[in-house]
Amino acid sequence: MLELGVVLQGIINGILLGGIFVLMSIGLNLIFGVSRVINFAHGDFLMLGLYSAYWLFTLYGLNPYLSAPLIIVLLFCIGFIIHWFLINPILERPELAQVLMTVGLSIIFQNGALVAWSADYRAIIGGIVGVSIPLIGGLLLPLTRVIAMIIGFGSSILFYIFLKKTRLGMIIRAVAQDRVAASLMGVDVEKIDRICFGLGIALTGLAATALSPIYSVHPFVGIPFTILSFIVVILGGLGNFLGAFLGGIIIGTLNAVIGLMWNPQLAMAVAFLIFILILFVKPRGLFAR
Amino acid sequence: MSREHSSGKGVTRRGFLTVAVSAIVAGVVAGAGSYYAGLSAAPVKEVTKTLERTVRETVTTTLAPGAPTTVTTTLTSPVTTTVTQRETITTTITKTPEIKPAPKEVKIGFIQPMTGALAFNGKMAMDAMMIAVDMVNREGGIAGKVKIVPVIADAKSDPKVAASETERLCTIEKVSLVIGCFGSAIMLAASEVTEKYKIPGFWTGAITRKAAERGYKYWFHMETLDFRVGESVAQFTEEVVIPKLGKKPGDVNIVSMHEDGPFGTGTHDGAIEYAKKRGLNVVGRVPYSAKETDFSSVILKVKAAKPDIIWWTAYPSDMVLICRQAKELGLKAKAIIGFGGGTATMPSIKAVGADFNYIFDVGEEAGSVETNKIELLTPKLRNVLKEFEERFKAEHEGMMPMGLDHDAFGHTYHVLTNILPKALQYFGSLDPEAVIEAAESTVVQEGYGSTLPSYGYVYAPSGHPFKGQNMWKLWVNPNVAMQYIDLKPYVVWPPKYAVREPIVPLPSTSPYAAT
Repeated sequence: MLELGVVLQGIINGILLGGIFVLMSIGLNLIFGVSRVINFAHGDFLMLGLYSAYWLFTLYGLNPYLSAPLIIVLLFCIGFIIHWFLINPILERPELAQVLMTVGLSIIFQNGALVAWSADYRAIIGGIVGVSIPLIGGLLLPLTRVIAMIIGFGSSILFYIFLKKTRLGMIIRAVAQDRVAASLMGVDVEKIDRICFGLGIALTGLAATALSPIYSVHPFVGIPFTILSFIVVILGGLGNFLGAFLGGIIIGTLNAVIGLMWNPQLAMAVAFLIFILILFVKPRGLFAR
Repeated sequence: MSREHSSGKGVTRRGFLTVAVSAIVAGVVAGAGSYYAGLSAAPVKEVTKTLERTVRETVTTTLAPGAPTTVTTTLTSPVTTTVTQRETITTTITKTPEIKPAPKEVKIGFIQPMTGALAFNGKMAMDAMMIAVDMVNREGGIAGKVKIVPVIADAKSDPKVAASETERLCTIEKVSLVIGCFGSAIMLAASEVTEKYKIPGFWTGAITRKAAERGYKYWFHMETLDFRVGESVAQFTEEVVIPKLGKKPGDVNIVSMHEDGPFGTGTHDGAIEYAKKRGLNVVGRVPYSAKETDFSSVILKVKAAKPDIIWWTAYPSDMVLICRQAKELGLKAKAIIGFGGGTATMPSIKAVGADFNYIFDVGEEAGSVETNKIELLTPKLRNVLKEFEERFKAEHEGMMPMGLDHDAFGHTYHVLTNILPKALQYFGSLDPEAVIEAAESTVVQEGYGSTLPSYGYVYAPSGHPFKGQNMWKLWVNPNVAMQYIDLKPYVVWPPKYAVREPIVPLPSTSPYAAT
């Protein structure tokens, strides 16, 4: 029987892992939840962000958190251009075309990274990497994960406010609700799509800077995060940022606690099973209105 | 027609949910299935290890082009095991081969996981293999006259892709043989296909015992097997680490932590079996999937078992994150011992950084041992090895080849320069049957100087429990323990190869040191 302290530590770890899932999924929530593009290259944009943070740190000694503005701008431009030239022309096609396009992009990114930077595992070392804050009872709070969670929570709230309170946010919501009506009101829907996609990728860049002290980077680092992000977004309710926040925490905690109490090999499988059961009861996500 | 009027824009929730739920259900079923498949794996058979280096061997060979060929090999193992009971291997092949005119070229398939989770090791190993091909081709090819046309396949770190790519090699490319590959699950899948198409497969890198126990006719394995690596870890623990802690074997808690594929499972089966027999106290076993994005529950489980010694089999993909999370979650021990794989892969070790210092790795990955003994090689092989290392370094930003790369090169070189010329000369062609007969009658004697990677080659014949296994490697089991100091590996065991005294327990500068 596990000691109480170990179980409590497991729960803390789970919540913090959920924070990482949330951070990962914010960009996808915008792209998939609002502009309805199925972006299977989501994790690979994260990979690009992680490499950017790694190289800025290694070559110029730039703290990964401080490199965030640069990476956000860089990834926004990449996302904006990719949407313009690659995604937009196929939006009229069946959904499968989008899937194939983004899967194709994913393969190009992965193999491009393999050629450019080899398959080496690279990581940011030093600073607060591996440092934990001791709490009472021998519990530990891994610092980089706490920061990732704060950034995830903060950006969820900021984005929520952006969507609710700003003019651009309102236009984005209008396009999400009814493209035809928005178009008739004079909204340039294609431009909004491009901005949404660019913003989504930029948010993934923000996630990358926060995750760069946690994960090592290699060309295939993004693969598991793509499907996880979809799950978090669906669990929370498409386009619902606070819902996705809770969804991420639920999946993370389930994963960590099941792994600890039962079996780490089955943890994610059971967490996904519970996700499926939730969808049976609430098919539009836990927090959909 | 403006896009705004289209109802087909984007994706419907129902459409995506159907796809997502189906994919996840499939994932859950596959995950649960593989877990229970892992549970039902055959237990490790009893193995008694008494290292003797005397070998009784008789080789009778009548080999002449066009004449009846008789090869009788009788070889008595230097190691007694209950699996290979001081065994005598006798292979007799008698036939009058039809000597066909030598072809101008031969297609050989090379498969490695060059993308995906195992990409790092797979790509390096493929580079090493291609250097071997190039060096043999430069001398005119097989036996100086048959050019090698390499056909490269990427298993993408996925057994399903490994199977389909091997199928392509066998059916579309029509290769004469296949040489591979790092990653046990990859090798298992690829070699099933070569067996189906009756194409000889020569395997290096992957070491799963499961592959050897299938009795495949077309499977030849040049490396050791997983349980022997596990035994070496347990032996090193018993002979060196526990005495240095000043305790009795039964008083030291050992926790086994390993990736849950055939590699991790097989190595730890071997170690735990050894531990049981010798009274070592293994208090916990925590398998995990190397593909996870979080290992906190794995680390807490290990921590809860209060380990003095941690046995750990990792792949490069999981190693960095596990080291970080172990530090964050305060996992402490007196010694950490790796079983090869990730803990022998230099770029991953560098990505962990100074925290990796004082961790041990047991395996044959001692690049330093290989190069230290260069003077023992025959002059020709010495030049071959030197050229290989120079070319490899030039291709990889000055990085020395690691043990796996040395093996990939050396074993490929063995196939191209020992087996295939023999098939051509005495068994008439490079057809599958001729290659098999050449392999089965190949005995490259023990002795460092005669082969590149280490020791010799003799493949177990039909009826043997490990049909196709290079028994030399299994008998001699030439593993060493290395300790990383200033992120460089130093051989610390066995004493005859040791260049430093092992440091046990972990010193206080290590974040994992138990106080």
